[in-house]
Amino acid sequence: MTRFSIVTTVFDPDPAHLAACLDSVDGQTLADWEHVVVDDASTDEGVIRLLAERSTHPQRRLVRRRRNGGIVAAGNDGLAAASGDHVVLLDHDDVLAPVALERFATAIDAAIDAAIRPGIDTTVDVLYSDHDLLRPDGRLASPVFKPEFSPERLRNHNYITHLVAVRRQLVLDLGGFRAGLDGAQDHDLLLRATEGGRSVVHVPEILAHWRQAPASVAADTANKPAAYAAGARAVADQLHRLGLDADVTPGGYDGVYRIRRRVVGEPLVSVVIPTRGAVGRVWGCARLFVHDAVASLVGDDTSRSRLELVIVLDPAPPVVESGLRRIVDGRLPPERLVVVPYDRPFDFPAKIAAGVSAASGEYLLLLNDDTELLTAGSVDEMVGLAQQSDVGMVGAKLLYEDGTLQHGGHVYNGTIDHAFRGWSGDHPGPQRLLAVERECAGVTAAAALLRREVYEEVGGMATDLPMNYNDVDLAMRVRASGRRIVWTPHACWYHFESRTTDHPIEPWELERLLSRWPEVLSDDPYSNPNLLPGRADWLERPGRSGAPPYVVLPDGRRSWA
Amino acid sequence: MPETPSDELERLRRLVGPSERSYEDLRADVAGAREAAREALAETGRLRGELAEMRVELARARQDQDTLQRRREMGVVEHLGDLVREAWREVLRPLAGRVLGAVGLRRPGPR
Repeated sequence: MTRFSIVTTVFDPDPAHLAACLDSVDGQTLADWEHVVVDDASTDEGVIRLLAERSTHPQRRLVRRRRNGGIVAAGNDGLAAASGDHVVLLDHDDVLAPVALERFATAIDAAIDAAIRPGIDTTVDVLYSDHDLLRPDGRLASPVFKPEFSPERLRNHNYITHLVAVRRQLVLDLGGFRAGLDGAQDHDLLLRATEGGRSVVHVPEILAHWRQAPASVAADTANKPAAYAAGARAVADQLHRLGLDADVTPGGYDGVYRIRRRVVGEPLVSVVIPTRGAVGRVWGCARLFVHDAVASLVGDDTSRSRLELVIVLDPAPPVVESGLRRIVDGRLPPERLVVVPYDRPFDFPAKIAAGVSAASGEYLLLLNDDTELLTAGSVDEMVGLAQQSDVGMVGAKLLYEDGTLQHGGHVYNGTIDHAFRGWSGDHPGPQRLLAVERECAGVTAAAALLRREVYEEVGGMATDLPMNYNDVDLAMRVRASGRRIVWTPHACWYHFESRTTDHPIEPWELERLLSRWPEVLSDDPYSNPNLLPGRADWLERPGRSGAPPYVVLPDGRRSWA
Repeated sequence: MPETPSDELERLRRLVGPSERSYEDLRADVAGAREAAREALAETGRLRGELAEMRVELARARQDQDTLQRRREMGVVEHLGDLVREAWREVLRPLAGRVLGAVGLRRPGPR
């Protein structure tokens, strides 16, 4: 029987906020919990009095520290005093939903029920839920609906935050909170607790209300620079533990970390570009698309990866190939420009397959010809991610000619679409989704990088989907192989989409995809059931946008006024 | 910028003249035009991006308005039922849980 220990460290909060926090614990619909409250030498008389009164609750244990030691020291005291199977971390001014523990318990039960054979490990190491913000006026707002466990995204920022439960023995084995990481101790603990393929369960329901007080991270992340510096150290330490060579610095947005991976070795990346040598106008000027795509690639002299260009070329005027040779002359050895003649009707997977057959690189960058590299070092960014063995495919940020977003990762939530298509190219997205490397259900093959071994293991692209959805099918194959697909905003191309080909989606294409992957439209692990199906812009379902019909009063009671 | 059409004509004549310098000038002119087109498109893109984001906000606001409108238009019975459901979920159920827990009848926890 699992028992929850809620651990709360207290240091001089507003007594009304603390009371609301304690009330929310007392009001849990699940019976079996203990609440370990560590008073980190509070000086506020109201807080001291309140703790004295409320610690008479038979399920609450008050640990008093003589001297203020900070959140790490106090948190570790709380962990030492806890006796439950899972430790639930609750800030002294936050409020639990009444069903919080019950939902976590149900999730643990579900994990047990999912074990269809004896001997399967049903241990749930980490649970986390969605949360929203508790505004100073008592209203709940800004719900944060999270994806299933996303390790890459967790390295980029602590998207989990609240509510979290971690198996107590695991926390003890990990040594609790690490000293010197005050302010980022929870991020650090999450990074360590979720490493090594441990069982992480997401409960897609708002189970915690994170108070937005003036001095809290929730209200103003800018007042916590030390916390973000500590967070960067925590992320760097994890990368070191995992044997990944990278520099980590606070990123362009508060709470976001920029990870610069060093590419191991000097890998050969075969850039497979299918083309018919199309010409078009971009920014008012005529261009031969594949020429400009290649020129932008070979012009990036920051790349550590070695490039091999594999151009799969339809019958085209000789100027196309001669122009390519002139562009790469002096920048690549001549043998690293491979032109593969292709004279069959347009079939994207077949053209890619022809290119891969002629390619000799250990990495494959599938690239449309109507692209232009925008960010130097993009190929290295993608290779750096793909050098993790559990990453199967890496996608890039693609912008339209006018700088709006063309591709921010695939979303398969009642539709197959690109996340935030049409938003400003420099928009960080809600919850920083467009500013962080994150797991996606799939990515477009207009610019996707795979290890060759992965491409071959999954059987390449489906030749029975010659025009559309072949990248969706490839993504599903990659994920079915147990690997992650990661999208990165740090690899960026212009994509002058549909300037070179235009293939409207036919109903039979979706039917064929669904016959192979019936769950594709209803099981996007990186979306959330609270988001409106059919959209890719994180719009919530009706009634879930954070406008509840009641106000939370300072004493924790709900008012329906 | 040329003052009159004849100025512009003269400028273009110089650009297509026979010297190497004319060719370089022409290239610079094209590059400048390309950059101007790119900046103009980028500005349009910024506005389009804002519109795309605002469309989501509008959809969210419409949904919220619809929810509130439906609550407002509820009959007394429906409204009471809704309030009772909310109250049950947020107040009565936790309270009942506490009472049942105190007498040892509440769900003990995961098995």
